[in-house]
Amino acid sequence: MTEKLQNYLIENFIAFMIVFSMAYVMTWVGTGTFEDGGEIVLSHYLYLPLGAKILMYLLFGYRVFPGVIAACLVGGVVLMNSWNGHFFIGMLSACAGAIAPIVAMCIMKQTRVSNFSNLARVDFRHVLFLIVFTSVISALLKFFVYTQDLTLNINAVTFITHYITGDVLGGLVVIYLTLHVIVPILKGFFPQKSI
Amino acid sequence: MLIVKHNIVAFVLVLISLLIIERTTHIEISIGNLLYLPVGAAIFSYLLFGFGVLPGIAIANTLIGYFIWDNWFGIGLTGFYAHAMVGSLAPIAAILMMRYFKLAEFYNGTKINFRHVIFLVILTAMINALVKFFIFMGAIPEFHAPAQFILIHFVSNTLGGLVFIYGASQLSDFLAKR
Repeated sequence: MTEKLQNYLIENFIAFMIVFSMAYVMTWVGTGTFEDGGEIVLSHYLYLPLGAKILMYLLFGYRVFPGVIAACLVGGVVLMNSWNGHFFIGMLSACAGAIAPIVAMCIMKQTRVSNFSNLARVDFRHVLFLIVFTSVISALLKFFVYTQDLTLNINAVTFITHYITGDVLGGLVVIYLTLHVIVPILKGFFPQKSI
Repeated sequence: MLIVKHNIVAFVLVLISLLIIERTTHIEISIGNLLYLPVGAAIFSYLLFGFGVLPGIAIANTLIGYFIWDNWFGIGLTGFYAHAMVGSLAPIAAILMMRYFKLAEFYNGTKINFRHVIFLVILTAMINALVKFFIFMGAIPEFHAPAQFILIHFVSNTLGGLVFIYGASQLSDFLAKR
């Protein structure tokens, strides 16, 4: 196995673990509407995986897409009871959730409003905007997916506002915790490294 | 006096773009049309003259909605909120958002940075489509296709914005050369 392939697999594994663990933590925090209420159309008010996905794409680039999408699918099946029986639609929505940060980053990169390739030079305000922009794209993509399932009774306004709120709050919490809790802890353990 | 002249130019630009789509395409309130040029006219005016031209743009939107579209196809005040108010304010919201997050400089010296304007058009289209959707959703009882509404409004605003701004910048370049 070449070193390049090994790094690729390790990065994907890290992305998988981080996104999956955030989905697991999310089911603890507050009311997990997916697993107990059957309300697939309402999402969660603190959707942490979105922040984790953005963080992974920022850290490793788009090459961790397989790890992210695998975490979304496994999380949906294991933690959300196969999206309460809506397996196919849930799977498509998981794909939409994994693609949304890439779409947002690509649009921002192609229009040259921000370049996320060098993380050290990225303005924090750009990351904040990326979270909001990704949340809107993710909510709209998921809305388009869920409206294909005629058995789901979706209130469009509630759906979109819940998803955007949950994604933005979750994204902000993850990025805040990473910058103000995890990075200082890592700096404490590895003072000689520049983190 | 300059602000009045700017408002008149913005008014004429929005009015002409609204009349073009009125004459060339079919508009329905719950669907929209696929090339919504007034968004481009509004963005172009705001970029060229600043936010002071808001009255000119709002008046143009209101006149067309009330007189040509027959009181916004009969839905009245809701149509005014969605079309005239949101349509006039969405580009301002997008520009302010881009300035706050330090995303763009719209001018490189004297030339317009077209890539940043593309992002501005996309952002404006997104805000426009979502806010109009939230307003119309509660007002129109026979609202059957919410996904199509958002999609068509987003696409039409994006296409209309890009086409108008590109056309206007090419035309102004041509006129400047002559």
